[in-house]
Amino acid sequence: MAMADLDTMLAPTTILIEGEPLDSPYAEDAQQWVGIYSELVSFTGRSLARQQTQPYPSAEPEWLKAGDEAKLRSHLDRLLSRLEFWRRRVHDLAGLELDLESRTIAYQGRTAPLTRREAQLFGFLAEHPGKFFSASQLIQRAWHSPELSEEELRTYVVRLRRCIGGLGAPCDLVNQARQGYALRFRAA
Amino acid sequence: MKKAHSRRPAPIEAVAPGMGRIVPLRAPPAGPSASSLQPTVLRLRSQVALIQGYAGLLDSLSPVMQARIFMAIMKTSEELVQLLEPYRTAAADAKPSLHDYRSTRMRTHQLLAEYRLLLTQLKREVAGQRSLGDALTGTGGPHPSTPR
Repeated sequence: MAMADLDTMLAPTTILIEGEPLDSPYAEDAQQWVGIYSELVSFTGRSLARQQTQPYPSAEPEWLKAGDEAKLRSHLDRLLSRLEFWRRRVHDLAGLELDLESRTIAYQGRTAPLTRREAQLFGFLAEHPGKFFSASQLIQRAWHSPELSEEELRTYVVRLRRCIGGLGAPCDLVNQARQGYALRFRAA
Repeated sequence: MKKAHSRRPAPIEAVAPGMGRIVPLRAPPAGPSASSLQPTVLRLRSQVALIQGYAGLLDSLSPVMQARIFMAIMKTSEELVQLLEPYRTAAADAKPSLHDYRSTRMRTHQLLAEYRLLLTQLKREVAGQRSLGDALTGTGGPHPSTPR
């Protein structure tokens, strides 16, 4: 059984970081822990990549490098698994369901259709709740379409806001000067 | 003969007009409201949890990798310190400045000098009044308290 599968099974009882409220009923808590684990996953992933490409000082034996790689992989598996757990938790607690295939978003029995770009944008922001992305980052990472303009992004943001507001979903697509856009969950 | 009051130090009102005899120290700045603290609390918790998370990676890794993790912890700690910087400044402001202490000490010295001179003058005047009273009533002679 893979480490990630094992960890998912143990997720409700295994605390990886002290103070982690696994049974918190608040979407804001889950959102906060998505942020924490995203940072840890990003750091561990970068460390692993660097470890594979950059040589250690000559004094360091080869077995030490191999040991680091195995350990980092193991850490990364656990962290990814926990990040996934918190991402699911945000959606569960907020009561939101996004279906990327049928391009619909549902909340408390109400459903709204989304365009492909709206669904991609919402899906990307919902994967990183509370985290700000600049317009150019969103165009690159949510849409993978660098040819689109920031003006077009703003149009989709306005439409998505209207859609979320119409459903009464407990989240807001906020924007802040010099930081960009973020999807923030709040108490329902 | 030089009059006693001519040697008196200038009253505090003359040295520091408008200050009176009570030394006003600066009031500590008002603390932030509970609602404005909420984002700080969240950010603080996140940063602390992040440091714990980094620390959790340290076990069984080589010194090279541990050094990289320490650098990440240091960066997060710096952000934490930056987050708390307004409170460090507020704590420093809450204490009276050295200038306040010095001016208070100077005024206290001046007031004490003034008090001592006034006391000496009072004693002299009381003694003078007593001698005058004795002369008028004819009791004469030195006062019982005056050493022979």
